[in-house]
Amino acid sequence: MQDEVFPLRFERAPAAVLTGNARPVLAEVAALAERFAESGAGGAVDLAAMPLSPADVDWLRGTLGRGEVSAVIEAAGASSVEETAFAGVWWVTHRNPLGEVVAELIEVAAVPAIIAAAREDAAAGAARLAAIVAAPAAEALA
Amino acid sequence: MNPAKTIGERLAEAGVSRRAFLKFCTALASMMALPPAAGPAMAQAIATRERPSVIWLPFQECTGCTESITRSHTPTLESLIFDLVSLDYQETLMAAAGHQAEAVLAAAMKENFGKYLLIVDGSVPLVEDGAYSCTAGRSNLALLKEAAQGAAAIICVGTCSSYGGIPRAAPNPTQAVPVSAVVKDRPIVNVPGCPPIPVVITGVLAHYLTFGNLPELDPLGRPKAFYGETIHDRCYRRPFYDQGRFAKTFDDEGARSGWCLYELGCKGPVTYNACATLKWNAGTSFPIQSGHGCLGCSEPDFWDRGSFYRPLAAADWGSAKTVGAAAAAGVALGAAAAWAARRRQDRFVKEAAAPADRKPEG
Amino acid sequence: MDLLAFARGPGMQWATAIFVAGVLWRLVGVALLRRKPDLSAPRVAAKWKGLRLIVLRSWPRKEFLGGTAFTEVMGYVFHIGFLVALFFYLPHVLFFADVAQGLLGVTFKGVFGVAWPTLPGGIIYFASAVSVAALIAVLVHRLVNPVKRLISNFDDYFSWFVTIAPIATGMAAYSHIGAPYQTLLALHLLSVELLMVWFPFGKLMHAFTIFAARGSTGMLFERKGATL
Ligand code: SF4
Repeated sequence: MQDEVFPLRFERAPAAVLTGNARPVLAEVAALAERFAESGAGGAVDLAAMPLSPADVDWLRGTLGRGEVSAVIEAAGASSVEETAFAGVWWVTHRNPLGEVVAELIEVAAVPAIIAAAREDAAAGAARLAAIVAAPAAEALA
Repeated sequence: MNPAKTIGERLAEAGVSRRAFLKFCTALASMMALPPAAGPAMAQAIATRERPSVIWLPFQECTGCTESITRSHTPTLESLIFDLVSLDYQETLMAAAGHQAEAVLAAAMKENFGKYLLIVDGSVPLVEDGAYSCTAGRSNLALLKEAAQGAAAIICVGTCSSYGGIPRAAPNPTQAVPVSAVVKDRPIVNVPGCPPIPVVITGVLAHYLTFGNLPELDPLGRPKAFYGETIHDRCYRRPFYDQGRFAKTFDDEGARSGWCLYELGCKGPVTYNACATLKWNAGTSFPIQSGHGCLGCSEPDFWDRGSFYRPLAAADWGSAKTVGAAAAAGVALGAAAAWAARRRQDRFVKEAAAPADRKPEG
Repeated sequence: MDLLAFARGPGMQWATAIFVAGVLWRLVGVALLRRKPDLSAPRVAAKWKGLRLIVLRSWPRKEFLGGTAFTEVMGYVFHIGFLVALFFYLPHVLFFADVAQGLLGVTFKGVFGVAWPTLPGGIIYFASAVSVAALIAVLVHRLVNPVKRLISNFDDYFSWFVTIAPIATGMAAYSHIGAPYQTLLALHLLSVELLMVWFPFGKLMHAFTIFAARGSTGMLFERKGATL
């Protein structure tokens, strides 16, 4: 048996520990939330910018809690956007088509940027819609 | 092809949505350790630009670097970079061959003179005017000199083009040198690694596309965003290093428990690269995570820096022979000094014993 | 060749050679000197009891305690800190293991059955910090105490410098403070090499001679009938 020949027993201890890096991240989010409430200018914190252990991330998620909104954006892999218990503070996870996390952010905004439709796209959409609206009318006349 | 089209338009044509592109830029910004706001800014900047022409020249190399990129782990995201640039010449990937391919190269260099990005993998042999590595009858040396003239910048992919790599290992029979030894008057970015992490190459290209310039470099010409920290700095086994828990062999208790590999020759502490954070093979792991010490492949002369399995601390203090010779020399010196002292003593004793020999005073 | 490659290669080789040759030169030179014949009759018959001085001199006599306590304590603190960092930090142990393997073809474990123990980096760092603090304290004491200042020469100050430099650079390398790790590591190695090169030619040589000197002095005292 493979296992008997070379039994691997990884000590997971370091990963399960809080590094103390989660609090500063939370403080940054709090500062952004305050700024957003005052001026409407939000921002984002990149969770990869700080060495966080899985325990740190769990703590952050737990502390921020869950809010009312969650959405999945299917664009070159699934991205999920979840509101936290604090309105305007969003947990954004970008995944690639293989399901791996490529970026994880805490965004502070009315709506995360990735959700909002762009004006250019909206223009193109409006044109297509107009064409559809125009078409049946023409058919009806014919 | 209409070169006036912007990248944004091209992406839309290729069916890449704005959100997918924004996500790509956010991920890139995160990997390049840029502030999160840079993601949307990058998306904005890149979308409005024209696609730059990229010429990729393989020299004295093993094609491992090309393999690394073409097999990069996030197919849609990283291959997206190839939609952002116009890869005009890449011997290994292009369909054209022979005279046709060379004609493409000549045309691309002429049309985009002064504007194209030159990517080089592989070192440049100098012996016999570079005869050891030729493409279409021309030496790498001649080709590099010509191609560099019209390049806006040169990106050296891999340790070979960056620092000479394995072809340059002692005794370096072909006198291989890095690109920077041949080209002195063009901005050069080194993306070393044997092979380099694919996303690092993508990141450098994206930076160039976004800001129109090259990223900030360290003294060895590497982008600081990716090579700013050592493997050891970001290694998940670091707590074990700090606690003093080390694997002594590759199959002992320590190795099984995932302890630090320093004693087994890990070069992580002196190797600047992003393997520990970006990882390899679909984000699966990196060498240390797979149980093997870091070889230091992104550092100059990594091949000649002693055994991969000798601990970093075991400096080259010499050999039993040299130390023996030093010891012999020391003993001889000491004996000679003692002998001289004894002679002096003898002389004094003799002089003291024979006062009659002295001239009477006064 | 970069700084680190030099420090790990030729620098270390030359330093080792000079250290070995220098130390043996001085030890052999002293050992082969002719002792002066002592023609007086010994006052005490017991010949070897004088060796007790090796231990006795390890702390001050009661009479001197008040005046020398500070120097004694600080001296012990920095020596112990230095030796702990030198002999129980894994990279150092690996270096010595490599030397032992190369010179004698043996490993510690092969001879004694157990591996040489090492301590966690944090403890080594603490020991080094304490050592540095004590070294600075004794330097300040040397500078402000008029008698000590008067009897100090270049050797004292330089030996102090080459002792503190490896500890300080080692701590900097461990915590990556001030420069890239490779540069710090190179500086650490170079400072060690400086220590090795200076060692045989200055007062640092006491590490090899101190106990022999105490022993022979003790035997001399004994013979003359002095109270130890
Ligand atoms: S395995 Fe290597 S990189 Fe990781 S902590 Fe140990 S020495 Fe450092």
